[in-house]
Amino acid sequence: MVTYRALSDTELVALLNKSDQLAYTEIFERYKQLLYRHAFRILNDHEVVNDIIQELFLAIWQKRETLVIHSSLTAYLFQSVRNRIFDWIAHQRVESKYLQSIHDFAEKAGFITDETIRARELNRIIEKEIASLPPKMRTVFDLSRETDLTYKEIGEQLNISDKTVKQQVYNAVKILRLKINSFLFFIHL
Amino acid sequence: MMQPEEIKALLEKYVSGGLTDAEKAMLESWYIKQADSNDVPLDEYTMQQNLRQMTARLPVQKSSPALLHRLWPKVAAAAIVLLTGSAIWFLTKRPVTEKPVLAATTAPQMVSPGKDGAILTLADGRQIILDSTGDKIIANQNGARVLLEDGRLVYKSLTAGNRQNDRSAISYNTVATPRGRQFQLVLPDGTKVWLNAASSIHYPTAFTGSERRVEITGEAYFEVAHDKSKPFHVRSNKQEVEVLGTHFNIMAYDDEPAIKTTLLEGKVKVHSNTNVILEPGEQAIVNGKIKVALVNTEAAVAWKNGEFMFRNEPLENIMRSIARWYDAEIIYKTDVSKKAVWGTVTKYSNVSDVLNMITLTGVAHFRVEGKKIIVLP
Repeated sequence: MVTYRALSDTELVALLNKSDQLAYTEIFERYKQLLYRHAFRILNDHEVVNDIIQELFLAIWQKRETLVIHSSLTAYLFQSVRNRIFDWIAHQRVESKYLQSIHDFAEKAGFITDETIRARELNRIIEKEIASLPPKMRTVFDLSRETDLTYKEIGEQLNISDKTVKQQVYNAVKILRLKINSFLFFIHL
Repeated sequence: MMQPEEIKALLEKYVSGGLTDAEKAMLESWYIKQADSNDVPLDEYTMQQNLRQMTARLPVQKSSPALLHRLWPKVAAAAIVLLTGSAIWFLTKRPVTEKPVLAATTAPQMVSPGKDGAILTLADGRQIILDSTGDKIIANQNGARVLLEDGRLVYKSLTAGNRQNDRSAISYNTVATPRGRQFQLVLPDGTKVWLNAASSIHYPTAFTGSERRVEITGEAYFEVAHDKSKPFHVRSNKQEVEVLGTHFNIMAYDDEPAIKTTLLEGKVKVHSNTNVILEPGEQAIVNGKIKVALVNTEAAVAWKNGEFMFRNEPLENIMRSIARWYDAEIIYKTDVSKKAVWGTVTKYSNVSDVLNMITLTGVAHFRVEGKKIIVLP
């Protein structure tokens, strides 16, 4: 009996391509809160956020067979949320507070003109969100996202020699991968 | 200075393309600023409620029986019962306050949910059981290779191009699903077909000629491959549907009072005594005459997405769907003619879960005995 919680994001997507409903469920379970909170910070409206996240996951199921993710699943999901939020705001009336907010922002100076810096900045925000997840969720999330090893393999590796040393090595590797991931995160839009 | 109208235009271009670097920088910087803000605190309770509702509306695997059992004893009022748990079921009338009766707690579970699988009958009469496991080549027929790929039946043409004039090469196959099984296949022209339980499709191994014709019994969902030169026709009982390239569902079970054809995308013409042309979102109900209704297309094709979705559906119709999927016999010990149910649940749960959800709405109680489901008041 496979524990879907132990599968990496890449493995889940591969299963999703084969219409594996449990893989879809795990992806949903893994990301639902993260995406909801993130969207809520931007829109501050439960009803709208609910609709957007639900439509996103519905669409993911509908195109499950043809879904190809070149970046990471995290990048894909956050990118999709951002696109959907922009698209939703685009369809609001001109008096909408969101358009007003963008208008006010556009008046002032202070845009981040460098695309790379924007990508890193957004990544930092997302990492902050992940860091504030409950510990158990976060462990599964981090391990399966940063590496392509299954939890079992990672556990085995960590148990091989001195735990503290291994943990430090693991942390170092994690940070390195984080840096690499964040560079690729939002560049390819 | 940028007016809201201009901003709307920019936002639309964000996804479709055409923004300058400066415009993109502005939008993304705004987004980052919002994403880093904490202006409005998130009400956890509302979020959790919404996420639970979302779970019910998505094709996710709902809670396992063990989890469900644990929830019920904690429940005090009907409102909370309806909100917690993974599937939300409503009655058109008031919600009910009694605790649900678990159908088969003591008896062993005999009625398990359906799986993928079908029987292929070739032109020469040979029958092959198509299990959803393992990829393999089933047969070579008249220039087409028939494969079982990822649990689907797929036809791949071995010869390049169409053999337009080779009528002698046409042979017909039938794929049939028994009760408790559903199946997916790809026809020689690339058309995708999902067959529900207790259904069949009869089709040629190659679509030569000026038309593409297939015949079905039971229920099937089609995503027809575009081919303007060859209209696609589906025959079922006393109805024929003519298609150009489109997504639609036909429900034509013998034990249902009417044939229902639901269009999701594209255009179809439904013939039966008279004709009618359907637009997306419409359903043709054929029973002697043809009626057209606007329906929830999601509910009509929920079965292919692994769900039972009922929107104010009469209980009798629901019990028939359950009977086909779980290969069970329904015995009525009460009149259910005025009862309707509204809800969504995965098809891959145990029948007792599905029945318990229905019980929560107060329309009926159930007892499961082996392969029989007894409907009680």
